[in-house]
Amino acid sequence: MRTDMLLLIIGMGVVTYITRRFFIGAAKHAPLHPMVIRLLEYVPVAVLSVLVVPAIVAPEQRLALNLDNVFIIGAVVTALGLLLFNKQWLAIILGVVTVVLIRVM
Amino acid sequence: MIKRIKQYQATSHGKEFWAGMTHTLPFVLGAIPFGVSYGILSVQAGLSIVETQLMSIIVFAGAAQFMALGMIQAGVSAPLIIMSTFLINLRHMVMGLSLSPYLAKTGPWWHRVLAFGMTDESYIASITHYRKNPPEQADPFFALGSSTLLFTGWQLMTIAGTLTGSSIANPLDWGLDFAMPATFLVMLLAQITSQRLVIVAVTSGVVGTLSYLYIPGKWYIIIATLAACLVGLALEWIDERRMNEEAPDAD
Repeated sequence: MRTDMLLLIIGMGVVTYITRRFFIGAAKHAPLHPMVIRLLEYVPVAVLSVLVVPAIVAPEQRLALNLDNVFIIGAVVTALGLLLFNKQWLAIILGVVTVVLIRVM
Repeated sequence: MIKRIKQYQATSHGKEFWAGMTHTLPFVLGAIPFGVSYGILSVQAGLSIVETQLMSIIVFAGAAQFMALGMIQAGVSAPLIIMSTFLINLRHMVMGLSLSPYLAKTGPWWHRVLAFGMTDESYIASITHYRKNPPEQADPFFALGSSTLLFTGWQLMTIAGTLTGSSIANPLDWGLDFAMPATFLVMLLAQITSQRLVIVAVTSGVVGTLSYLYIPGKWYIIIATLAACLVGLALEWIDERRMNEEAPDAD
């Protein structure tokens, strides 16, 4: 175990923990302002969308809004799969299999 | 303390813990190729098996761990890697704040443990579950079950990656790199239950993609998250004003 690597890992762990711990107990001492609570209503959708959309439309850090981008086709199949079968795991598998098959062909 | 534990056992906490695990299972599926790849790529990047595992145990944040591997290989200095880790994980602050009303009755040890275990997946599983009932009824055991499954899974995937090493091809090269976007897409679609949420998602996606492409560093996640939440609040406000104008005066 190298000391510099250990320090890097601990450093990464500490800053990650700080971000997770920072506000998780915020509502314990005083209730959140109603405006803040309303704002927080949108957090799940906002976070998921920023994790999903750039990864699909710019997979190589370049915008690729065309059908050569297999992730866009995969995303459409995943969404249709969810709509048709209403099973999350099945939609994920359908999307992934589509991407793998297109790449193989 | 023991009395407390017994009280917990006598109630439905076991069920909630179990529900937390089962609700998280589909998301673990999507994480498998990434966890295994992390182990493989980490060894290729020059980390030892112990260092690789230690990072999965202490940091427990997939996106940050992947980013770190790339930066280590590129010879980036440790302070800069730690700074980037902080930026990429800033979203956790907002996520933690949105969970906090549901954890207002729980003690500081719960906050410490659940904070350590809060990932995107466990956050989404927990907040979705907690929103079905008033905040006072939220049971921290659900989030604990969700995080426990993800943490255990992440460790096993890391081990699988480091042990197979270069003897198998990187699963991300097989085409399984779409597993993570597909998983998060499914999670996103399940959250979109109103027209306003469609606009919030589009805002976050567009702002996120633009800042991802044009703003250096990992600022894009927090920028898009905050912008999209503010747009949601503004839309709510506009809708209310419109309704007040249309409604005839009650007086």
